[in-house]
Amino acid sequence: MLTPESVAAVAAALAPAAPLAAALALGAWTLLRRAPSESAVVRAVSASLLVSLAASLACAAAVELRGAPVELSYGPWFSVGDYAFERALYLDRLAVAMMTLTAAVTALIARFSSRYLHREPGFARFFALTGVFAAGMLLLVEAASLDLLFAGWELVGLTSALLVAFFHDRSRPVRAGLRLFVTYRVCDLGLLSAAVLLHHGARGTALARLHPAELSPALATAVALGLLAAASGKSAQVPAGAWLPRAMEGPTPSSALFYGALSVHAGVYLVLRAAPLFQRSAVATAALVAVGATTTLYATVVGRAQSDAKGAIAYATMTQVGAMFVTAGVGLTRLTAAMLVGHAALRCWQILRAPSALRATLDARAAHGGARLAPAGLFARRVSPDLARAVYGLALERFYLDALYDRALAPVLRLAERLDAMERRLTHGADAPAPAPRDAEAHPEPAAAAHPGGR
Amino acid sequence: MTAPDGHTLVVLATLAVGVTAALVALPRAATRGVGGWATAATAAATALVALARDPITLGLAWAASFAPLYAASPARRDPEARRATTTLAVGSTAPMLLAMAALVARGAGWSEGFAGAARRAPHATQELVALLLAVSALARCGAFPFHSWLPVMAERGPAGPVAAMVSAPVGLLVLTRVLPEVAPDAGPQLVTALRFVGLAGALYGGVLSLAQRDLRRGVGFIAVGQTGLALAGLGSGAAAGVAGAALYSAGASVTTVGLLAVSHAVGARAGTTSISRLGGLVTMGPRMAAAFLLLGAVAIGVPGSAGFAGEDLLVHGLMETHPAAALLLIGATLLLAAGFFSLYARAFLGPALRDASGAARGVPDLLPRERLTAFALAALVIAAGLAPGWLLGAVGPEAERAAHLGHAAGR
Repeated sequence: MLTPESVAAVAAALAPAAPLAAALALGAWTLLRRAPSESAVVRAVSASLLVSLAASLACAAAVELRGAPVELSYGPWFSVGDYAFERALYLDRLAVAMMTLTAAVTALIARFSSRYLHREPGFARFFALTGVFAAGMLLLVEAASLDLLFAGWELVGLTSALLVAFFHDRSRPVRAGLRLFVTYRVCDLGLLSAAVLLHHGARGTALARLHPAELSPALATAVALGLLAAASGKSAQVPAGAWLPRAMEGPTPSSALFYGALSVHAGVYLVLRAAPLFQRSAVATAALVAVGATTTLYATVVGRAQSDAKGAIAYATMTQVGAMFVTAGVGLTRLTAAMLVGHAALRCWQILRAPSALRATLDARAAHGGARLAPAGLFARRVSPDLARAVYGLALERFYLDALYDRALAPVLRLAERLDAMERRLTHGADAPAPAPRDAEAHPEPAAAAHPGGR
Repeated sequence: MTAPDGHTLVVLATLAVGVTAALVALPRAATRGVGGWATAATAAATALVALARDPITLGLAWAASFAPLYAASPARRDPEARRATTTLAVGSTAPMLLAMAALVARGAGWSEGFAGAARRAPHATQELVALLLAVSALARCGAFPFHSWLPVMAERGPAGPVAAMVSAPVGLLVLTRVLPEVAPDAGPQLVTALRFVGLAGALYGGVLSLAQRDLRRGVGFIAVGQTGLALAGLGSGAAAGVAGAALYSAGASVTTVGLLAVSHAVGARAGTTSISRLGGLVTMGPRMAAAFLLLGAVAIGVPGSAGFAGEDLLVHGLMETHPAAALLLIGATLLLAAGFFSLYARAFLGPALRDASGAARGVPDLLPRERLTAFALAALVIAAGLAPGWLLGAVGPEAERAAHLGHAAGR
C-alpha cells in the first residue's frame, strides 16, 4: 500500500541519486570516449534534475500528509563490531523546503547555463560538476546524521573548488579554487571533530534524536563550536570568509548557484539543524551571534568599497548570511529559515544579472531622467573625513583578512619546505640540488587582492 | 599449506589489480624488457610474501621481492635512486633476514609456522625478533621514519617494480598476521608504537605533500601519509580501526598505482614531472587531468570511495580508544587532501605550457588503454567504497583479534 513513508523512502533516495548517476555517466563517457554534444549533456543533466525536483516535491507532500517528520533508514552502509554507518535520512519541513529549493534552483541554473556557456570549453565538465553538486547538496539537507551530512558536505566543497577553478587557463581562478579548498578543509576539521565528540559522548550523531539536555555543557559547547567553525567556513563568515569574493572567479551560473543560492547557505542550514545544541551552550550561542554580527559589520563596510558588481554582491551575501547567524543565535529559527530561502532566490538572481550590471545602472539612471543617483553615504556625512578615509582604506584592503590567511598558512608551508630540504639532503647527500623556487612555477601565487572576473 | 586468510586474499587482490594496471597503463618503455620482467618478478615475490607461513619462505621471498627493483634501478646514472634502493633493501631486508634466522636457529623449518619456533625462544629473543620484524615491515610499507625511499623511488625508480611494490600492503599484513604469532606478548607495546608511528607519518606525509615540486615525488609523499593513516588505524587496537586500515590501505594501494601511472604518462609526454615546468596540462590533455583528479579524489577519500569508508572506520576506531589521536588523524586527512589538490592545481591547471618561443607546447592526451585503466581503478575503489561489506567481512576475524590486543593495551 502506498503510504507517505513509502513514497518518501523512494523519493528521498531518488533525489540525490538521479543527478549523481547522470554526472557519473557523463564523466565516464567523456573520459572513455569523447565529450557528448551540448544538447545531449543538457538533456541528461536537466532531466535528472527535474527527476530530483519531482522527488523533492513528493517528499514535501509526504511530510505534509503525514503531519510530522519522516525518518527513513536504509540499513547500515557498513559496519564493524558494534559500530555502523547508518544510511538514515530525516525529512522535516526545513529539509524538504531546502530539497525543493536545491532541485529547483539547480534545474533553473542548468537551463540558464545551456545558453550562457554555449561553446565554452569545459561545457560537459560544468554540467557533470553541477550534477555532483546537486547530489551532494541534497544529501546534505536530507541526512539524519552528521556522518552522512559530512558526505554531502564534502561533495559540495569539492565541486565548489573545481568550479571556481573552471577557467583553468588563468592562474587567478586556480589560486582562488585552491584557497577555497584549503579554507573548507581547515573548517571541516570542526565538523569532523563535532561528529567524533558526539559519537564519543552521545553514542550517535543523529541530530534529530539528540537530547542536548542529556549532554554535559562542556560537550555541548565543544560540539557546537565545532559546527560553528564548519558553518563559518562554508558560509564565508569572519575570519574564514575571505574566499568568497575570490570565488566569483568561476562562471557566473556556478557563482549564482553556489555563492548566491545554495552552498553559501549550507552553514546556515547546519546551524538551524543543530539549533538545540547551540541553545544548550551560552558560550556557543554567544560565539554564533558574535561571528554573525562581526561578519555583517565587516561585509557591510567592505562591500561599500567594492568597484565591481560581483564583488559587491559577494559582500552583500556575507552581510545577509551573517545576519542569519545572528537571528539563528537568538533563537529565531523560523525567521532564519525564511530569510535563507528569500535571500537565496534574490542573490541567485542578482549574480545572474551581474554581467549586465552596467546596463542595469544605465537603465536606472535613465529612469531618473539621466541624473546621478544620490549616494547613500550617511556614514561619510556623519563622521570626520579622517575617520572615513581610514575606514575606506581598511575596506579597500578588506581589513587584511587575506593577509591573515597567508600569515596563518606561511608557517606550515615554511615547515614543509624545510622538511623537504632535509629529506633531499638525507636521500641525496651533501650534493643535493636545490629545488626550483616556488615563484619559478608556471603560475605563481598572486600577492594582490582578488579582482573577481569570472565570465 | 593452510588456506590464506581474508586479509591475505585482499592483499593478493590489490596486488593483482595494481600489477595488471601497471603493465597495461605504464609507458611501454617502462614495462618492456627488463622493466616488464622486474615487475612480474616483484609481483611474484610479493605474492609469496603474502602467502608465506614459515620463516624460511618469508625471509627468502622478502629478500627476493627487492632484487628486481635493484636490478631495474638506474643505479649507475642516478646516485639518489641508488641510495634509496640500497636504504630500502638494507633497511627492510636485513632486519627481516635476521629475525627469520633467529627463528630458524630455534628449529623452525619449512613445515613449521612462526608460532612454534617463537614459543621455543626465550622471551628476550621473541622481543628482538618482533622488533626486527616491525622495522622491516614498516620500512617496506614506507612508514615514517623509514619512508625516505618511497618518494625517491616514486620520482626516479623503475616504474613497474615500484608500482608492484606499492600495490600490495604486505608490510601491514606482516604487522597484523606474523608479528602477533611471533611475539604474542608484544601486542600492547606494538599497538601503542603503531599508533604513534602512524600518526607521525600521516601528519608528516600531509605536510610534505604541500611542498612538493615534482608530481611523482608528491604522489610518493601522499602514499607515505596514507600508510601513516592505516598504521594509526592498526594502532587503535579497535576492530573498526583495524578493519578500516585494511580497507583504506587496499584503496590507497590501488589508487597510488593509478596516480603513478598518470604521472609517468605526464613524464613521457612533457619530458618532465617537475611542477616548475608543468602547469596547464589540462588544456592539452583534459583526460590526463581528469584521470589524475579522479584517482586522487578517490585516494583522499571522496564520499562513496573505499577511502571515505576506510577513513570513517579509522577515525571511529581511534576514537573508541584514543579520542585525542582521532582528532590528529582527522587533521592529517585534511592535510593530505589539501596536499593533493595543491599538487593537482599546480601541475594541471593554470596557463598552458609554453616552449622557449612562447608557443603552447603540445602534450598528447592519454591513450585509450591508459584512460581505461585509470577509469577501471577508480571504479573499483568506488565499488569497494559503496559496498565494502565483502572486504570488511574478509578482514573481520583479524579485526576482532586486534580488538583484543587493544583491550590488552590498556585504554
